[in-house]
Parts: sequence; structure tokens; C-alpha cells
Amino acid sequence: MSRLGTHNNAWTWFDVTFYHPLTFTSNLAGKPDSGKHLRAEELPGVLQLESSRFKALDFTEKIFKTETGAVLGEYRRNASFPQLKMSEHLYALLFPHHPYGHETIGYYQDVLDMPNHYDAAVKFYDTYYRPNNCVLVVAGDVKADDIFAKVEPVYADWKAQPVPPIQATGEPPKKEQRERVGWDADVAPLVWVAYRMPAFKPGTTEGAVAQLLNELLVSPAAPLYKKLRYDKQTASQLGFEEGTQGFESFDPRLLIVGAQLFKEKHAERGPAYFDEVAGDIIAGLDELKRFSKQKDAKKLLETLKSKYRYDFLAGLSSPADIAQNFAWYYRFTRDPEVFEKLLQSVEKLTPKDIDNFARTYFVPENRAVLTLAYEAKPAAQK
Amino acid sequence: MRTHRTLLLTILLTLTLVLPAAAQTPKVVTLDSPAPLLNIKVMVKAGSAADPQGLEGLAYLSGRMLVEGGFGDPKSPVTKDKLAEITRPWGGGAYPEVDVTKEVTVFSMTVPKEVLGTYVQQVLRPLFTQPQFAPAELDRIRAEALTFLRSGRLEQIELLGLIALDNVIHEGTSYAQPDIGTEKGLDAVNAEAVRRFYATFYRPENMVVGVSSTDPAIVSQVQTALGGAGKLDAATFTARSAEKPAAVKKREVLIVALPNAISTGIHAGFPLPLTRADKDYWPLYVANIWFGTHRDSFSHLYQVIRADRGYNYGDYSYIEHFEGRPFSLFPPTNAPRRYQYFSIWIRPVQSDYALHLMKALTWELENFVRTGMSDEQCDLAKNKAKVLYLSLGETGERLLGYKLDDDFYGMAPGYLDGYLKNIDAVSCSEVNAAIKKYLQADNLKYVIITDDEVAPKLAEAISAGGAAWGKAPADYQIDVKDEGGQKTYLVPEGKLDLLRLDAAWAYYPLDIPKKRIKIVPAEKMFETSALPK
Repeated sequence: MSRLGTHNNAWTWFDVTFYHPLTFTSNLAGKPDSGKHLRAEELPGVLQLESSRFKALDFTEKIFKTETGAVLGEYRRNASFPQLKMSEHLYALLFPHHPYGHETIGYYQDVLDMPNHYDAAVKFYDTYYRPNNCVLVVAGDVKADDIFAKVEPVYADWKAQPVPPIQATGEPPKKEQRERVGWDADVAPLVWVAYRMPAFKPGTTEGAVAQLLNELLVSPAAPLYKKLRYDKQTASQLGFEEGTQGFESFDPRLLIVGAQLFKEKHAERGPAYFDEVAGDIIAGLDELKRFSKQKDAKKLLETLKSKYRYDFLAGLSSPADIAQNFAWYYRFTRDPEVFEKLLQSVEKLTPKDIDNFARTYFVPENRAVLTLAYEAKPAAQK
Repeated sequence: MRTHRTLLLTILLTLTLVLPAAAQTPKVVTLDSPAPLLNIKVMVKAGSAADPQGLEGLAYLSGRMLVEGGFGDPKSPVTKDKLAEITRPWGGGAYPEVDVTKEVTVFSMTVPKEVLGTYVQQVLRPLFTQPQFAPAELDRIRAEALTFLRSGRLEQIELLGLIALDNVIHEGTSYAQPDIGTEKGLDAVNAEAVRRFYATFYRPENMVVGVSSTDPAIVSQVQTALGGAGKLDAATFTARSAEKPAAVKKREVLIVALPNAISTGIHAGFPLPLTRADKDYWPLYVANIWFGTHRDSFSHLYQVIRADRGYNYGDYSYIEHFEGRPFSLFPPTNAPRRYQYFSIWIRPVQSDYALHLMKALTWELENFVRTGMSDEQCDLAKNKAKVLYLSLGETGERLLGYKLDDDFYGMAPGYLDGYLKNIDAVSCSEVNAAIKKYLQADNLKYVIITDDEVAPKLAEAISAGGAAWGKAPADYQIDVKDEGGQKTYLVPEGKLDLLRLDAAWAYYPLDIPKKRIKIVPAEKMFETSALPK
């Protein structure tokens, strides 16, 4: 890959792993080496090299163990964020019986123990890295027929195998959860209000409402945002902790509205401050249950649709962006027209659809409220 | 009839000749793009380095206030709420985003081409020419900025290390503060100071505007909208000139102590007397690609520290300030600087290994200068550098951003325009000459971010100067045979070099006496632009 000159990176999320190499179109298939000091042999192309990563990854236990050190380093670099502790608590609280119950990177103790689980890594690869569980997206200055002709031979011998579905082992909790989290540095307090959401399916009415939630709740023009950031100035930041990706999931997952608070106000008012902000967030979501009743609801919805269209367009500003967005949505329904379906579903929304969504999901039994504040530890405990 | 026509022509000619002088408009750079969304960027050539002493944070607050402090008719101004309402149907990008860095303040907007006329009239023109700077908004923005600063230094520990290194390298100059300002500085800014900052710097002659269109009608609409910027009855500031940072002499360490760090981040660097506008930039760029490409397994530091030994998440080096870390994969545009620095960033490692890795980075840098690069390494690095071009110029917004930076650096052809050609033209002997000319490991400033219980022990260990080991052979899965206390390491092929290098790192003398090591608590950082006593 280096010799071809290819940028190589990847990320993992709750139900998808995404590899995103980027290279010159001329590197897709094999070509002679370009550097005069390099061996002048025919190099395999990026397509061929990528396919071998998926078909026949060959990693020894020693390489695996060394790499777990890098994962531990990744955990450590995130450990200073109180948000990590918050999400660890929240996921465990809402998904006690589902793998969504832990962070993608795992808990600290698990990461520390990871060097001892080489076999699990081999099994994971063997189970999930299958062609029937994978999408290859090529975006750029290419011709589809040409790409299919090049991809077919290099991936043809990759064997399909049924992929076991992920199953919850029990029911999620059926009442509101509240928890306080302590933190050992004097940081700004946090309030998170989370709701369990439906599984995401692009093209559906529910999926379309979900696309507008960010704008409805935490954009600078949203009533909730204005209330907390501008009118009452009780929050210094307000947003979705996981973006919209948090609820664009295969299985039902969650929406987290997160607020960063002011230390000074917390010092003055204590828990009442938390209650006020959490109450305002809950009220802001409850408002959506009456969305259609407000004056000019229809006009407002048209404005939101217009914003969504332009934001969608702005998100397709490079081949890498297009490939990533397409892969992200395509995986749900495997529909090559998923972008069109998504846009059409938003276009068709009525104000009542917002009411219905909010009434169904923004209910107390779907909710969890987490707060985080500094708790000085006695020196001896440290 | 004839007379009239002549008269008209005369008037027209006079107008053409007089207009540009009467209403000065900013310089414009354009990008030919067929995209339906138009990118507009306004670069004001004043950033945090222009903050008057004692008012650190003024540039940041001024930038935010321009957008959020209300504008237009003073009787019914476009408040931040109204601005959000107005721009809402045009997409999130239509709400101006402001970035304040050392030398510039940049406002970025993305607007559908079909609404440009309305946008210019309702947003762009009044925002830049009729700002209201409502004092209540200043208080709100200041409170948010202080929260970011006070909380950030305790939770964003990678960012804390990156800013701290930038500050100590530029100690005593106007670069030596976070771009957002300092606690004392932010507290001292009032609305009048914001008005003065605007009147001093937000003037057409001090701006460059980027537009992603070459259509003259579009370009002139944007350009003329900014003609009246900066006109305000307020005293101006004497512009503070950015000073060149002093050369680093020998090695010194700043340890920033946190109450709850579970690991240790390591940074090191020194000023570099070169920018991307210099001829030597390209050979040094290729050298750095090989030594420490940001977030890429290609680089040497990443290989020896992460890939071979599994110490951390990544290890990189830089010949320019890289804004947007720790999260950006590629350098964001529009953070140009007159003064640059070389730096190395070792992401958090287990605290027991911190000293070993301080030595490692220093040994590696020294060795890099000593041995240089082989012809094959140069070719590999050039290949790698070329593919980065795809990411650097990935979007129209980035391409336009580079054009503004080109104007700052006075580069023609521009950075990306000449990028591939310049890399091709670099020879390996030029690369090695640049390494020798600009890099060295004798004079370094280090910043260590660690736990407050580790800090004094680490300071002690650094000054004590003995060997400091990192991982043991067992960590590399090297078997040990123990026969009656006599240990034999069964070192497999290929691992011997690893152990040899470990020993070279462990025994490398840093030579840093106690008086050149300073420990400061994280909660004291950024109170002022000077380091806490």
C-alpha cells in the first residue's frame, strides 16, 4: 500500500467497521512501480490488496498482542474525557442484555486483558468478515462496468458463510433510569438525557423523522437550544452526544441529548441545577408531541426539509464523503437508491408524523437521565 | 443627442475611475467550481497574536461577536436567533462559522447559489458592515469560552499538551497563548475593546475573500458587500507585531500535572526558521513524511513506537503547526503562521514508560539527523506525499481554503497547485541536506502531560540521568529459559534489532538538570500568557 501511495485508515462503530483507503484511480488495478530506486516489478493494485485483507488476513498471535498495546493507547487517550465514563454507564444501563451495552473499544479492564484473547479475534474475523456481510463501495472518476470487471476476479474466491444475527439475551429495562456519575477532576458538570429509539431503516417515516431530530432539537434555531444556550444560559454546550449516528443502527439504540453546564452555577445551586436542565431537555422533547399544533407547523416543516436537502448535498463534497455516506445508509436495506429513498421519505413527512414519533418514543419508560459532577476524592484513595 | 452621449460616457468613465478609490473592496481569490453550493470565506488578517497585552482572547471574542452580537439596523438588529432563522432553509453551512487562529480570523459560509442575492443582502453585507456588538452577548460568549478553557485543560489532555508545547516554544511572544485567550485576558475584554478591534482590523484592505466561483457577477456581489467593513467610530489599536520566537538552548522540560491522568503524553519541539513559502520547505516536507506523517502507519516514529512495540495509539512529527489535532486526520486550512516550529507528538503511554519514550524520541531524532534517508526511503516518502494530495485537496472548501493561505504566504503558484510538481522535483540529496540544515535534537523543549503523583517522580528520574527501560523481552513474547538462575533469552530472528534499539534508547543521556524541569498543575495553565510560577 505504501509503495503504491495509498492512504489507509479505518474506524469501528457499534454495528459496522469501515475501511476507507484513498488512492489515485490509476492505482486501482496493478501497475509498474514508479520510483526509480524501488524494484521495478508489477505491483498488485489497491483492489487486489484490499481483497486480501478481507479474504485471508494473516495475523500471528505476536502481532495481535503488539497491536492490543495500540488499542490500550487509544483507550488511554480517551480516558480523560468524562464523556467516556458517562457513555460506559449509560450503555450498560439501557442495554444490559445486548452488545450495544458496551463501548466499541470495550471497558478498560477488557482492553487490558485483550492480549489474552487472540482466539476471539481470529473467530471474530472468521465469522463477520464474509462477502455476504460486506459492501464494497468505489467512488471517484471511474466507470461502473470497468470496476465490476476488475473487482469480480479478485473477490470471486471469498467464501460466503451465514452470519449469526446478534441477539439480545433479555428485555431492556421498562422504567426511567437515573444515575449520578462522579468524576475526579474539577471539570464542567454534564447532564445527559437519553431515549431508546427504534431500529433505523432508511426510507421509512420513522427513519425520516429521525433525520430531522437534530434540527428540531439542538440546532441554533431550535427552541430547546435557544432556551438553554441563549435565554436561560444554563448550558455552555448542547448537542447530540453521538450525532445522528447513535440512532442510525440495526437494532433499536438511543438518542442522547447532552448538555455541558457551568461549574459556577453548579457550585451555587447544586442538584437543583441538574434537575432544571434535565427538566428543560425533557420538556423540549415533549414539545415535539404537539409539533403539528403550533402555528405555521407546515411552513416550519418545509423549512426543515429544505435545510435537510442542502445539508445532505453539502455532505457529498468529495469521493470519500460520498463513499462513506453511501456505505453508511446502503447497509440497512441494500438498496442502491437509498439516497433517493431517504430524501423522498423526508419530503413526504407531515407535521403529524413528528407528533406520532415523539409520542411513541419520548416516553418516560424509554428514558435515562445521567449527570456528572466533580467529586473530590480523599488523597488516600487515589 | 450626440452631446448627451458624450456626457454620459464621460460620467461613466469618471465613475469607473473613481469608484474603487471611494469604496475600497477587499482582495478576492476565486476557485472555479461547478458545485451548486457556493463556498465563501472571509479572511481577516488578524488573529490571537494581535490581541493587545492583557486582553488575550479579544480576537476570539471579536470573531464570535461579529456573528452572534447582532448586526444590521440598530433598531431591529439581526440577532443570533434571527440569523439562525434566516439561514435555516439554506442548510447549516449558511450560518457563518468563525475560526480564530494566531494570525487570521476566518469566516466560512456555504450558500446555495440560487439564494446568493438574498444572502448578501440579509447576512453577508450587514454582518460585516453594521455589527452591533451587544454587550449581553459578549458576557454569554465569554462565560462559554472560560468554561471551555477551565474544563478543557482538565479533560482534553492531548489538546492541552499540544497547546502547551506551542506556547512554550513561543514563550514571551504574542503566539504564547491559546487562540481562545487566557482566563485573565477574557475577563478583561469589554464591548468597547471589541469595537476597537473591529475598527482596527476588520477593514477591506486587511481582508481577503475567497469565493468558489469565477462568475464575475457572483464575485463582485460578494466583494462589494464587504466594501464598507470596519467603519466605526472607535479608537484603533496599534497593531502588535508578531515576534520571532527565541532559539531554544539545550533541553528543558515542562511537566503539566493532572489530578486523574492514567497515562502520560509527550511532546517536544523547537522553532523552525522556514515556512511553506521557502524553497527548502519541500525537501524538509518529504523528510518529515518519512519520519512522522500524522496519523499514518507509514511513518518511522509510528513504526518503531506503535507498530513494533505497541506503546500507544500513534507517534508523529510536524514541520508546520497542525491545527485541528487531536481529531483531524489532515491539516485544516486557514491557520497560516509567519513563524513555524518543528515538533514531535508521542500520544499517551503508560506512565512507567514515559522517560524511556522521551529518550526514544530524542534518540530517533538525533539518529535521523545523523543518518538521513536512503534513496529508497526518499522515493517511498515522495510516493506517500503525493497520495496525501488527494486528501489535502479533497473538497471545494479545502481548495478554497488553500487559496486564502496562499495569499497569506504570498505563494504563486499556490501550495496545492505546485504540490505534486514540487515533490517530484525534490532530490534525495536535497532531502538529506534539509534534514541536516534544519533538524537537531540538542536544543529541545519538552512538554509532558501526566498525573500529579507521577510528575515529581518523573522529574526526579529525568534529572537523575540513569538508564530507563521500557517494555521487557517478555512483553515482546520472547521466551526466557531459566537454568539455575542463569537466564537465556531465546530471541527469534528479527527481534534482536528491536532489543538493541531498546537498549540504545534506555541508555541515551538526556542531560537535563533539575533546574531545567518545571512542574505546573493543569488547573493553573492559561491563567495568563506567561507560565504559572
